[in-house]
Amino acid sequence: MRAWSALLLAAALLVGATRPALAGFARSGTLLLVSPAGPYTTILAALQAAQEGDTIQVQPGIYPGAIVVDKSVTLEGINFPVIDGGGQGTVVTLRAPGIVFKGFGVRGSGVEPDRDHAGVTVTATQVTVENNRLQDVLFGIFVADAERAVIRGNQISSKVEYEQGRKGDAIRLWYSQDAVVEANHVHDARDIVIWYSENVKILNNTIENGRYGVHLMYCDGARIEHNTLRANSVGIYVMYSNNVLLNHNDIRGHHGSSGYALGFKDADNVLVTGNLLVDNHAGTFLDGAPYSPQGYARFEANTLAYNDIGVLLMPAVKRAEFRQNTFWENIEQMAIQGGGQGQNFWSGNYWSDYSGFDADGDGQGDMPYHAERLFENLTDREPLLQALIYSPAAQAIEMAAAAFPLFRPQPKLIDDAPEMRPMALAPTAVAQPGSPVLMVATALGFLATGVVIGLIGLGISRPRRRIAAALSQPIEET
Amino acid sequence: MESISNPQINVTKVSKAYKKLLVLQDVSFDAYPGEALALWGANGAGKTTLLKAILGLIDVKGQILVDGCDVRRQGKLARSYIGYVPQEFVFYDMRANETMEFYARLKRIGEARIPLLLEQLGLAGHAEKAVSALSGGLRQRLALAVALLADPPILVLDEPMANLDTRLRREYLGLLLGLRKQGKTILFASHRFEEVSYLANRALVLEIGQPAQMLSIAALRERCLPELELILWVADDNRPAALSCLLSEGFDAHMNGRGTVVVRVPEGRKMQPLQRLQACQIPVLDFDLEEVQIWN
Amino acid sequence: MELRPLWTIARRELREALHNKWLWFFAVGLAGLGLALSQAGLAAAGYAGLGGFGRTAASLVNALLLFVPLIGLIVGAGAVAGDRERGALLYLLAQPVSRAEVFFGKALGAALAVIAALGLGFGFAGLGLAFSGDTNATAYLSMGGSVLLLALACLGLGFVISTITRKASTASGAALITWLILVFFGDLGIVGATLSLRPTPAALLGMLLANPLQAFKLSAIYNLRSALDILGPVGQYAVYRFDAALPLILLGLLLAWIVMTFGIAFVLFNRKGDL
Repeated sequence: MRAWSALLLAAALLVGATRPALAGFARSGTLLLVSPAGPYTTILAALQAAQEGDTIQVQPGIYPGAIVVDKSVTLEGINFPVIDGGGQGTVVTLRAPGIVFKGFGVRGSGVEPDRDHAGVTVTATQVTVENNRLQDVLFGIFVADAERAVIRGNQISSKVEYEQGRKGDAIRLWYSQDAVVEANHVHDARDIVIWYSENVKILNNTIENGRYGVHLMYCDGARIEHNTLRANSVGIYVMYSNNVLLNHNDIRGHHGSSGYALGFKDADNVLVTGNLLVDNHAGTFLDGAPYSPQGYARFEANTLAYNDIGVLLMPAVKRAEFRQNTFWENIEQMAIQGGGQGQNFWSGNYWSDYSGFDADGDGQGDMPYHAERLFENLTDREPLLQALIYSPAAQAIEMAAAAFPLFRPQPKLIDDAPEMRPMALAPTAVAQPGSPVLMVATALGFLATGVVIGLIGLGISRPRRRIAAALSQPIEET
Repeated sequence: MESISNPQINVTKVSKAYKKLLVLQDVSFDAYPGEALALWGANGAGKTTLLKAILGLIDVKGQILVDGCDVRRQGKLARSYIGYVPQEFVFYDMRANETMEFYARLKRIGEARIPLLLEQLGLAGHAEKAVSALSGGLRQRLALAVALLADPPILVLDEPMANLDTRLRREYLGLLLGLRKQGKTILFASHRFEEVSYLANRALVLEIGQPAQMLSIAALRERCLPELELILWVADDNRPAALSCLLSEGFDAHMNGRGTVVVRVPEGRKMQPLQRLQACQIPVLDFDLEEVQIWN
Repeated sequence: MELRPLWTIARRELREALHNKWLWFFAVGLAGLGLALSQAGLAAAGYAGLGGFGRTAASLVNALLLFVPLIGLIVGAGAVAGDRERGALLYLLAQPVSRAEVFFGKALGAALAVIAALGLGFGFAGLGLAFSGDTNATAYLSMGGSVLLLALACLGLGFVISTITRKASTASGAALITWLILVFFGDLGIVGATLSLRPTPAALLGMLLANPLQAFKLSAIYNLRSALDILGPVGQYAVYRFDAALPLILLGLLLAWIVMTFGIAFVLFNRKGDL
């Protein structure tokens, strides 16, 4: 073993000695090997030995102690060697341009949020952090003042023992333009926070059980596509950011008072298409979008299904546009917080509670869709009353309103051309129904209970025949 | 009286008031095996209340022992010595034999006696019939059969024959008399003297506002039977003579508006006014009898 | 108290209750409701596969809220008053049985009858749901469980009504009025109180949970959604305040209703007043 290591070391040195001096981020440098058995037994030692452009390959093992990388090298873990910060400070600091850090397990950061104790901190341009597994770190990957970072394929979770608010952010981008955050799997951390960073792409990530799934602040030109968000407190919240694209995200299970799948605060030129917003408190929440008179907020071909509220609008929101969306069985398809009527544009949406017909066969209902429910009207004004939703009393109020137009409220929205059919769902959007065996068994269990009790009840006449047989000669009444 | 054995039922100073109305007032009596005791009184005089108290179903002042068990503390045990027959058999939606089985189970006895009892009481042919399809007489027999399921030493009957016609009543009384002769203690409420005199050897007389009184049957006949009004038709000119003839002998007589002489006599002395008038040589053309209800 | 006479009485009571046509209306209605719901699911063009709690599921909860209390109240109200009125109760108590045996026998029999109707209704509905792709057996089972608790709570309430009324007709009338109060007037009162008094969410939650129907509703929705956002600030407050204990608290409330109503009814029944 030792002989082999010595040989490898010799080879590495040989390569290092013969290579030309590297400019920029050339990747053709020397290969330095780290393993518990050498040649380098610590990453730090290899880093000290390395020069710009070198590649440090780390064999499996646990490598205690934080590392700071200030040379433009590639750090490559084989089978996830673990860098353990031992609960102190930031575990990995990448502060030279063009560093590639991939394939590592990172754990054991410090716990002080105001010092940004993180698994990986990036402070230089064009750094790639790829395919790492971060756990038991306060923050996951913190990119500060670093352009063109690539955060790809990492698995990130925070300190499991902390409640949500005390956890750190899985990914935090700070003044870092043109970053790509792609195909990461984030769970049980706080937020993905992207602040003051323009033209960021957030693609194909899976984000679960956090606080803010994605939180944008002052991030113009962001593109957020094909992400999967599950059961965070808030889904994607866009604040003070313009020219934002949100496409084909699949966002479900966001509950609680701010359980918005999508939320927009003072944002302009927002285009939201093809998103699947299911089983959230609100599918979309708008507060100041569009913000300026020239700006727009367009929602097209999104599916909003089984949310408590499909679209929740602040009363001041105007000129938001909703076209060709499918509103499927939201408890309240649209609500305006505090009541009132909006001045937004609705056309060609499918409404699952539309009761009109399509006599001319053009695929659109012949009568406009009106959202006018008296009880909804009451709950918009007095949210406390939502406690009585779907109780028979609420139904009675609704029926009274339907019977007596006097009580019918002004419609909250009118869609002049409601679609008759919902959009087709992508097969991948729908969970395959599980095996019906358990359900059938449960149903049969219920049935059997009923039948057995029924038989017991009727079985009181069981011993009758014996007695009839014992009666020798029937005697008629005389 | 069969005072050698212990009393089956011992009632001591039982009182019961509903709100302010005193229904039972210091009722005390014993009932012995082979004895049939009638509870005699008008509706509302407390017969049913007393029976309920003996069954341990209502709280009363005083003490009631059934076969030595205090019905208040050991009601369930006490009731197991009693077969109860209500005025009208309240049946559930079951066949006659199912009904028997149901009560047999409640009384925790086997079903062996059921066919026997059905046969004894002439119900064997009706065992498969729904109770609701039985005639009133059969139903009352079924009630008796249920009461006899556990072969209890005591039968408590609350006007069991009130809804039967004369023939069925006789038949039923015959059954009960047989049971009494077998040594059962029978306590029954009645307001028909015919029943009481046939079955009972003593009667407890209950009257509202009066202390209860135990009477022999003969004394009951004297005390409580309805008096009769004998309406005598005599010729017009004989009427004053007839009236004075009767009055002089101490009869309670008067003339009524229709020109007849009316004499009020106890049940056992119907002949006497007639004989008296004959003695006075006043011919009686015809007579009618009318019962005078002593309870309103 | 012995079990054998209790069971004998329970079986007879069960048999009689099984002849109650209301009970079968109820079972058939419940099954029909479930089947209709599964058909609605099939018609949903795959949307049911999104697996959410929509208006349709909410209307199931709503329909259960209407149906279940009614059947509990009616069966319960008929259990004692009718027998008392026609003297059957006196006759039964004249047998060597204790009042406890009679009462709990009747209660058990009536409860079994209600359970049988629920079982058949939920069974058929469940089959329909299973074949239309709804395979969440756990949720369905616990829904069945909380419906059962609600039914028993209302049955207990029916027993209370039945023990304090002398006539079967009075008892049925009182049961219907109680049903209307539980289902409509109580909640309408709360609507009024909320609009005029503006109570805190905690106070409103308290007012709601005084009604076993609302306890059931919260429990059913929590069971289906694992959240109560749909109920607005009150629901959020309830989840925030009680967290994971909430479903247990709601079930506990329903259980408390059952114990309390049957307890009160028994105490009333056990008074040796006139029969």
